[in-house]
Amino acid sequence: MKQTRRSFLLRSGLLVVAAGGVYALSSGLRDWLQGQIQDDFGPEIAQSSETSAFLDDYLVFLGQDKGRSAQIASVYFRLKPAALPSLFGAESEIRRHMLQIFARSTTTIMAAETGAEFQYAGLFEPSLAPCQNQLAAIAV
Amino acid sequence: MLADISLQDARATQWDVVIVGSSFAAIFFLYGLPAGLSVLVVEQGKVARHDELLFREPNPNEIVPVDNQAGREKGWVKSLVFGGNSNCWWGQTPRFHPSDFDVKSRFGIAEDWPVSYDDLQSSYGEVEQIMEIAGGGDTHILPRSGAYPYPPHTPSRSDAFLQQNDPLWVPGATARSNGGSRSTCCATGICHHCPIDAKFSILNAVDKFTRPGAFLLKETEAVRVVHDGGIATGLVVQSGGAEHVIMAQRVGLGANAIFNAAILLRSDFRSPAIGRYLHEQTSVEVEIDTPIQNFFGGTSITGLGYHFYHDFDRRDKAAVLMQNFNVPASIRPLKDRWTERLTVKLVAEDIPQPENRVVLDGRNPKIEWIGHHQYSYDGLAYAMDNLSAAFPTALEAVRIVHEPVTEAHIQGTTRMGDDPASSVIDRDLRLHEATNVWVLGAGAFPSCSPANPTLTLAALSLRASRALT
Repeated sequence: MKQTRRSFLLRSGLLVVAAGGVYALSSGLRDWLQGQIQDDFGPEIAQSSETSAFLDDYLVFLGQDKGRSAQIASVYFRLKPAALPSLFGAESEIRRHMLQIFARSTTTIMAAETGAEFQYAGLFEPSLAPCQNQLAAIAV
Repeated sequence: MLADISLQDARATQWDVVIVGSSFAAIFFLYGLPAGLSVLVVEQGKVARHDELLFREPNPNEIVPVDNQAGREKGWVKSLVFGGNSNCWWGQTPRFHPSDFDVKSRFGIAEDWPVSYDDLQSSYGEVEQIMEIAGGGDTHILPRSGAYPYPPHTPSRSDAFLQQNDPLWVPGATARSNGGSRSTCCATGICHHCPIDAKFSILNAVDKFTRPGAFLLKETEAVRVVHDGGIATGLVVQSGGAEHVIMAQRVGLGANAIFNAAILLRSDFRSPAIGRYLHEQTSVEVEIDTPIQNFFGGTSITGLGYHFYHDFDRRDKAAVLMQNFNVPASIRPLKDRWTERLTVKLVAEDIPQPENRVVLDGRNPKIEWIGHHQYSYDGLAYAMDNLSAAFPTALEAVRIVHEPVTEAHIQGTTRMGDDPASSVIDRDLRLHEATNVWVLGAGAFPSCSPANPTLTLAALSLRASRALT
């Protein structure tokens, strides 16, 4: 089929919009996650370089992980709102997933409870870096 | 490591003992055998290194068809590799409660065991030494004559609080290392694939079991026992699509409660109990929001609760053992109260039922499953309704978050007993129909326990081979 100038421009435009959307929504996920951390642990922790490093690693992890929370995050934040109505309200699951890993990857609980220094010990992914659970006796 | 042997060389030998399988039951039987015997271990699976088994989901798991009439999903775990389920267990090693051995006399349910807690005491202690168990602080519930080999793990904050307030909360005995020859557990929460090999497995302790005269014939399936006039004379194995006979003075079956039953059925043993009474525990995992700070324990499960088990009336509802998880466990999504959530698993005993059984479909085993006994679910329901009795603080919310389809325990198909009419093996695990055949493992259990079975089945195996002269 012959491609007209009009259809070429239309397709190109759609590609640009789609690429931009993915970028914007991925970026939106990071901001949203940071906002969740801020809601729970305050701006000082949320905006720290330690949290920034955590979010960098966590977003890479989400991209690699095939678990349900990762799938929901990638689908929900990119295709929202109309594509998958069954996923509406999935923020709570993503928030839960992220906070579980954040609490085990950083000293945020001890920092909040005792004023201990806030540190990021590396993403808690025990199959790759086993002994980094910051909610275990080894972290105290 | 056990020395390999070829099928040709295995067939050319008259063995003192041939043992089928290489998981806990089989290898602890090997451990207790008198010195000087020639022993052949026949394993269907391959030998794989720890790093080769890591993160294989699922573990190499033998599939057995299930005719499930229960109306609920049901699973079984049967790891097909050297070391069997010791590669993928969680390392929970509580002893059975003394009352588990005489539940019929005490409560009128299931059957009494032909052995008592006291009969197993010394074997329990020896297995705990070999497995380098960490534990302590539970003697008022589970009597013992000596200390655990290693101290209990650091309790989670919730366990420290609960144990301080209530003697029915105790440290959990575990084969996840807290001292000894293995790496110390660091609470990864993925114990079935422990990345640092901290839990006891047959593979990481194999040198303790290696002995002169013992050989491993791997990737070979045990098919049936050859017997005549009540005496076993050998084992038929299959390899490369052909069957072969290996001659033996004694045979120990330590495959698991599904495949042991299948081997006995193929061998044309006639006890009506063979294959029947297949059972295991039921369980639920609950999240409990309560003002007790959690986490910072030394291992995955740091505490056990005996409120619905020790001195508990089991006549009309199952005993339930509670496991308090340090990891994996959920953070409470509530500002400043993130750690005030407990993740507790409730594990209930079952009543073995003859309709739950292993049968042969051609030469292969098949499971007929009518479901767990209502008694087991009644125990879980009772524990859920009475959870507040186990916690000194207000329970703000209690939610069931998971209902596992298996505890990965296969029990009961070759039950022990004194009466050959109603049991398959005797108190020393010898087959009633051929007393130079030992049937090892949790298939021997004539009743269930809410406690994990590994320590007990290993102790039974050790006791049986120590009795062999």
